Amino acid sequence: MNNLKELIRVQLKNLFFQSRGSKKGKKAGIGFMVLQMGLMVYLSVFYSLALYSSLPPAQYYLGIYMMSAAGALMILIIGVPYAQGFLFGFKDFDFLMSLPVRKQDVVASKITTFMILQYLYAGFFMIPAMIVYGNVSGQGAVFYLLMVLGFLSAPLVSIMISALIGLLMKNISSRMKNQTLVSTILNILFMAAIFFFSFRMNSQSDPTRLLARTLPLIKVWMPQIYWYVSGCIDGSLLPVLASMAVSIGLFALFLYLSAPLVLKVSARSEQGYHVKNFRLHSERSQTLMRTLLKKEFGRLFSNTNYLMNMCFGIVMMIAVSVYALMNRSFLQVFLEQESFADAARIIPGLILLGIGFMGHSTCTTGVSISLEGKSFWILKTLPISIRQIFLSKGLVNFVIIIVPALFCLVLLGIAFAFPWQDFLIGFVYLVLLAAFVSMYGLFINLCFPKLDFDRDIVVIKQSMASFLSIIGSMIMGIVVFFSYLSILSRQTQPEGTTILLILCSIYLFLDVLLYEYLEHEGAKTFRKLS
Amino acid sequence: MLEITDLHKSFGNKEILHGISLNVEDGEIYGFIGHNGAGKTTTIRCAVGILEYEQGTIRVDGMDLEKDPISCKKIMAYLPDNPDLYENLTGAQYLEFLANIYGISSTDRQERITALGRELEIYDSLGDQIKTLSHGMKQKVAVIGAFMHQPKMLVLDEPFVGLDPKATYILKQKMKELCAGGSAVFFSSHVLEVVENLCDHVAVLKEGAIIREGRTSEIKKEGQTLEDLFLELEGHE
Repeated sequence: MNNLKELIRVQLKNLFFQSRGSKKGKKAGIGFMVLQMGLMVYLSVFYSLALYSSLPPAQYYLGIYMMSAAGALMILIIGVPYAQGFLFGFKDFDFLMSLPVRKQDVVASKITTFMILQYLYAGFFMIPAMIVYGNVSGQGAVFYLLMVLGFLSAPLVSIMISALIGLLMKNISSRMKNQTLVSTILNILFMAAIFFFSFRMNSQSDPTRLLARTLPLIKVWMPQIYWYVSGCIDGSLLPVLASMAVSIGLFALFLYLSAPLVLKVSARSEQGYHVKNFRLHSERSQTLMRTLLKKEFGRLFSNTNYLMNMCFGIVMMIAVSVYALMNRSFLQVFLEQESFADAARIIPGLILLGIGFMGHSTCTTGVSISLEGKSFWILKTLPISIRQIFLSKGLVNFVIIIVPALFCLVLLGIAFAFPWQDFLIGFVYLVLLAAFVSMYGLFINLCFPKLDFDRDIVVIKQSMASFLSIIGSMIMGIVVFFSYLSILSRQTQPEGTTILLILCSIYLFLDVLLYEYLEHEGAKTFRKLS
Repeated sequence: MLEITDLHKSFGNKEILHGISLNVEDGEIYGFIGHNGAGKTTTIRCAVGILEYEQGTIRVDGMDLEKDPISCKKIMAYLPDNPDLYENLTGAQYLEFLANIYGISSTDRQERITALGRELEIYDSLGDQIKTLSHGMKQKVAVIGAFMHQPKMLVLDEPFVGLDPKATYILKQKMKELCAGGSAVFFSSHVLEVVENLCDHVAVLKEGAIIREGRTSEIKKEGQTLEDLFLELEGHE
């Protein structure tokens, strides 16, 4: 038992405070945790309030079902990559197996740590949503008591499903030579399934009807959540207990069946691949920049979590573009609802900013310096200038954004019959935006570097740089999008094209600022890194 | 070839190196010894451009490392004590990467990688992912990477750790061959017998300062081994 406690303590410390030996690092680590959890609370409260503002009081109960189901879905989305990296492919496998501790303790410590992490995410999302509901619907103490009691088991089924999907993916990919490629494809398929489900759910524009349609689905697919929420709302203990019994029972069964697989799959996933009868083939020499670009692209595509986390935006960009293409009338309806005088005139701008927003969430440079990790000495000792290093990292990000962005621009531009001026402005806008995101990521990573880690996922998902590069860039995208809408909805509105030109100028200004920073201060900071 | 003058390096408020000065001549093998934490790795990491330093100058073949780092690094190679390479690449891919950076022609790289790979008995594993290799095998890949562009200045930090006896012998031979061609080697080691037999010049480092430096044959007393000298310096200083 002591061993298990010690293992869990070390795993948690490793997970949350890893490599933050310095005071500054510790502060950044704690700051990152606070930010991440704060964001969960903000999202939960923001969406809850938005939901209740669009529902009549008699139907507030629909909102809490929706938020609880969203929480369960969120645990699933966050849990799948964590399960693959933390539960079924842990890097400290050799170390842990060499310790004089029981295998069961190793497995139990991994599962417990995984659960604690998931409970944290669930707690900071589901509890605030329940409190908002309790507040707006004037619930009493019983509601809150049942809420706390039921929460003890409410996330278990989602955690179990995420672990099962993670196990399945890891089990398949670990048997393949190209583990990463297979893993990436499986993860993309998983995300596509989630999107497909979400799009189908959101095709209903009236929130009351949407929620009413969702409720039977929750009843069927998430009965434990339905019982938990209905018990809390009605002040009835029995459904809450039923929810707990089902969740705990299923989870216990999962533990019994899957625990032996944790070590087996982890051992296999760490093996890598070997080549029989190797012969060195003559390779053509390549230019320095091409070599660096190949390295950077290789780094991006050799890590499923990096690819999925940082390139989520472009997957969304393409998916939403195809969706918009197939539902052209949707934009028209939306604009009529928002009372825009001349919908056709502002559609190009809206589409452009929509594409731009997705580009904002694609920030590979945000962790690209950190990911050099213990191999950082290689870059530092090679005859490569810092400008070339920055350029190679930035160019990968730029290409990753600009290629799909221009594809979407052309696709939607033709579909919505953009005038040629809008194509031109769109091109300039996206180029400036892609350059901004690429340089912004480098800026953030230089401010919050993290070179000492044992698993890439720690940098990709749990570092301050990862958080700030994606969230910060996305916030800018949101601000730009809604500023555009807000200006256009005014009485004395300027031309949509004029606003886009102003936006281009702002991005150009920011690009110059960031370029100047990277050239001077950024290079100095990079030199100090080791 | 490598000239370090009055090198000072601090981490936070703590000064680690207190004015290191040394000079590695062309064609010379220079050994750097000292107890754990004496500052050997820090000196080496400054010399190859990994760490910045507060005071002093480092010149490689007459070029200032701070002012012209690219030119210096073009003629240098570094072998760290812990071969943390790009784990997801294969050994061959990693070496191709280095060959491209150093601008080694297609024919030369093929010849050199094959020859060094066979000599170090790692050739058959060059197609494997680096993460599957043992410490010693990674070290061998790093050794090929360090010698591949025939550097004028080779800097090694504890190069023999993890290498098997044959690989250790070959590495020593390669270091000698390199110096015979006019290049210089600067390395740190705890294996005093190797330093004594291999090096033309030795510096003993203690608590961030060089306490003895000179030609290997000259710094010892009659009948004294380098180990005796090292222990004497450690005990009496």
